[in-house]
Amino acid sequence: MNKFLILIGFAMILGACSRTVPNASDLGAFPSTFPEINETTIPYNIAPLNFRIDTLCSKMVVEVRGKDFQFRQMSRSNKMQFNTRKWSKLLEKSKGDSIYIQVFTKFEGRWSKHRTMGLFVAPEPIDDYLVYRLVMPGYQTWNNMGIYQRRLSTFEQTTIMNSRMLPGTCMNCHSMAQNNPENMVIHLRENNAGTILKQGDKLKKINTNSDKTFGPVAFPSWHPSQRFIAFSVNKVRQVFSGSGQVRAHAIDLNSDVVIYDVIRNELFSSDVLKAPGAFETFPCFSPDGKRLFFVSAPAVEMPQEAQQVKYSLCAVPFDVQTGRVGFEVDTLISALRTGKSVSIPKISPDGRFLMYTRSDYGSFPAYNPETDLYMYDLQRHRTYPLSALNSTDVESYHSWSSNGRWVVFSSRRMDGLFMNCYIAYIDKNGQARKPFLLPQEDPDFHKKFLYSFNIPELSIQKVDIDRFDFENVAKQTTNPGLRLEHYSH
Amino acid sequence: MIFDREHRTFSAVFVLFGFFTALFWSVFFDYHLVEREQTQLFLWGTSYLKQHFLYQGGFSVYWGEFLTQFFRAPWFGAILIAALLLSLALSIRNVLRYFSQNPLLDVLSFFPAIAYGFVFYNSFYPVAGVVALIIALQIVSFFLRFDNRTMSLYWGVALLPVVYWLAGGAYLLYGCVWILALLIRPAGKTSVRHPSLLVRLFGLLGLALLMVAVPLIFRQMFLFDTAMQSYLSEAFYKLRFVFPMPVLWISIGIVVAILVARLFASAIIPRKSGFYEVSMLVLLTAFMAVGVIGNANFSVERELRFSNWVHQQKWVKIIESEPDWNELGPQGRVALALALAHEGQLISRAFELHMKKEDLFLKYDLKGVAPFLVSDVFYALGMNNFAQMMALESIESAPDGKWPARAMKRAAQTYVVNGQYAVAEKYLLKLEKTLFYRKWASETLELIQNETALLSHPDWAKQRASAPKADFLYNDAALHIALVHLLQANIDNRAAYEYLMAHFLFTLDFDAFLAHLEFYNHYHYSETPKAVQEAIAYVETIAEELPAYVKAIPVEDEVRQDLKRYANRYMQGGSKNPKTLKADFGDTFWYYLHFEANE
Repeated sequence: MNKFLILIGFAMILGACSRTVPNASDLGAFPSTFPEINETTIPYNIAPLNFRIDTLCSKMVVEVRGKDFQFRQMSRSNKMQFNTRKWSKLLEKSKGDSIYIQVFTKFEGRWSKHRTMGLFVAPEPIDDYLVYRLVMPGYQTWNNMGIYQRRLSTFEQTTIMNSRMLPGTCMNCHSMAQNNPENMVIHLRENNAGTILKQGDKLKKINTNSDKTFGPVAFPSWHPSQRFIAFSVNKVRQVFSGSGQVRAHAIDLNSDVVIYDVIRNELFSSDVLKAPGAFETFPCFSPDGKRLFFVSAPAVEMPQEAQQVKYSLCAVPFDVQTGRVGFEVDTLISALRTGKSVSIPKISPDGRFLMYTRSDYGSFPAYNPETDLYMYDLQRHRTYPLSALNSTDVESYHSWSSNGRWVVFSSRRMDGLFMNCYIAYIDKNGQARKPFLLPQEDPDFHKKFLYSFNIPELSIQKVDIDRFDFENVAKQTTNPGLRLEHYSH
Repeated sequence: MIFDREHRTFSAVFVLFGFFTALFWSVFFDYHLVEREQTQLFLWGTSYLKQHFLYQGGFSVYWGEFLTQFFRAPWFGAILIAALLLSLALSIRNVLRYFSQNPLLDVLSFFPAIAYGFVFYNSFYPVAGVVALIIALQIVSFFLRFDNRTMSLYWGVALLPVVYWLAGGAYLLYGCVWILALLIRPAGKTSVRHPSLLVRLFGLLGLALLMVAVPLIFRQMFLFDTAMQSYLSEAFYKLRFVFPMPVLWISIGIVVAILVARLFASAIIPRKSGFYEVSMLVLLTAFMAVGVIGNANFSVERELRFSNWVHQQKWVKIIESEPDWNELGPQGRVALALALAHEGQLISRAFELHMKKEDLFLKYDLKGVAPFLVSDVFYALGMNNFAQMMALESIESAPDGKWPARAMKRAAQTYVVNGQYAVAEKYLLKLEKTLFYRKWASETLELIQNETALLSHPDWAKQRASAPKADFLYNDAALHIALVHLLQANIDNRAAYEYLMAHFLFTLDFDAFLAHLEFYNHYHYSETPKAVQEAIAYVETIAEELPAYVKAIPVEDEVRQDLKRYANRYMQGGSKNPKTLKADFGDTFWYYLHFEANE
């Protein structure tokens, strides 16, 4: 008897799942979803874009159709959490094509049908991992932070290093050589201060503080030879607003660009990278390694004239054989001409496009709500806003995928305070398509998550660092100093 | 039975210790309890419980936090503290009873429990520590009851990893008790079949190995923790890099109590126990008295009390408590200054109390934990953004990385005031998951859906009206600029006016002082504050012409006469010997001007 009842129940469930929604009235409008997914372009190796709809409902049925596969899923709330296996199969079969999401909602016994949403599944994959720092959105102190990696095809997040392992240590500016974590750097500050250099399985701590530099190095960019890493040395100060919704500003009291020779354990620079009358920061090697891009602004009295500091995009030749920086400075985007400030230049792996941020002033765009993402076409020498990516709030740090078709960028658009990661497709002409929020298993995740996603970097593979090795290396106090013989040449 | 001859000492100490502990915490240390509640955020729901099962000692931390949330009502918190310490004493007694059947020795179990009470005077020792010790001792005493010692040993060894996971570092005490049980044959328990030498040998080796290896194995497998924390867990101390030495001493004390109980199991005979009982009572009383005197920091309690009164905006209560200015710490001084400003008495009493500019705001130099009061002072004056900045600092500098409820609420408030409802909602949703902040959070969540209702709410409307409108930057060395902005935004902000005028007097900025006297009449002082009169009288002697609005401020003749008397005595040697002036003029602005301003 019991078995019979179970069978009937099972059949009823199956029946309910396979039925079409009866007598649904057509609302004619797209459902209001969080996160927004309609008309986005997504990679085929991305985790399910789970969402909630901001419509009252007791039940929701979602039909997802692709070219050769479709499935239907029901939810007893306003949240849709897709079956991961079916979602992956759908995307795999829909590469280079669109998928359609039809939402039905039931409220007070009546079904409604929303307008079908369409998403395009790009044929190119995104890198498998996203590495980011999770940090509270506050100001100057911390007790809880960490660097994490997220497998983008699932919701799996693993810890690379956190404050439980290294209490009192601030960790930031993780950077991989050409999206490959085989070679990477991570900065540590306060407790255990130093720069951890990873080359293959080997970890090494570098003390970049010296009497010739005015602070430790930051904002790294790897040379494609993986022998050199360009950094900036910054004297940063935060200032806080007494009114309004812009909570703080960060300003550079001084900054220079320096280059670290991994083989010679040497830090060197050039007069054009540390000119006395200028602030230089955010270096970025070109993918062929022959040029070093950076942003530069004439030095002014700080912090009084902070809002007058506008950075231009510059480039200098770099000779990988001799490790020499050329003297011919090419100003690609002049702040004098635009009246705006350039920061965080990042070049696509094919060397064609340079993505950067544009603000009213300064080099820390994360603090300027007007900051937008722009593209510079290095072939045609023209610049244009990436309107599809920009919002009324901050768009800031960004990172290219290894195939150059995807970018991840951080934005405060959700609430004006917390940084979140958005992913967007960039076509071969350098045009951006509508981005989507980094998917989370629970669509309500962001309602209660009180951390910012900071410095998102795409990685072609999992960062494989033994946490005990990392801890041991980080705690080393006897680091050989850097060679600085050629610091001023 | 509990009042029979053998048990009466234990029972008496049990009642007296419980009573005095509850009394002490509820009467003398109540704001320490309140602070404990404010520095955590216990969330109801399964996900919060699940989070605590993911790390060693998390179970104890969970229950510690569960109990701590009730400290919001200090009298109940005091009862809970007493109950916890008594439970610890009972748990120790249960273990002692295995080694010694003599009930007269049960009283030894109070020494470690009393000592843990002293540890609690420092808020960095969480309640979870006692919970962890109780869990470990209860499990071990449960298995020690079995007469088949070999079987119970197997259980004991097998459960060690479980105890480690539930109670964190208390597993070490658990292991030590088992080792003692293997090494020492219990006194007077004939029914117990003691394990064979071989079993004991293997048991010892197994226990020792497990005690060393279990944390290492867990750490190697998945724990993200320092080696020290892997052994200790966060149940015992909030700062992860500090070894909680007192807890180690207390644990050693428990082991010593076991050894003493076993050693004297048959030496103390109930019939001749009078001297022993009196001695133990005297010893315990002395131990408690010395411990309280040596460990309880009443000046911290006073600071916490004032901080909380500011949080509750109980200005009159602060003033009426008539604190001794010289005994107040930085928080108490700022609280009093703020309370006086809100009651329109700051300028009048600033020099009588020998205040300084530094007493207006609490300084936080980014070291250690940001006190809640730093944010509260800004909030009470209307400096919403700075209050927000410091509330976030309090959250982020929390030593254990937990969400401090008081700062979370303050952060939510400041985002509501700024109209940043999406951010406010995040904090409110967390607060809505708590027992005691749920109602406020739910009401506020409803209000932020309806801006009209929000602005018609007196508190929110006042706070929004007070917030500065023009932009300026935070500079803790020049907070008077912020005060000027507050007055530009809302001239009715009397506390800001009092603060600003006090600042000008403290810094002897007469030009700014006179300029801002233009707004003096707006505040309808029933009588001109004494310091204002003294300052005007002084300025009259050095300025050629004063603005009409200054002349219109009444200055009593008596004040002018006093100034003359002061000037005469100053000229006649008082300038070189301030003591001669202090008795008569020590509470005047003139005395401050000449002798205290540059101190």
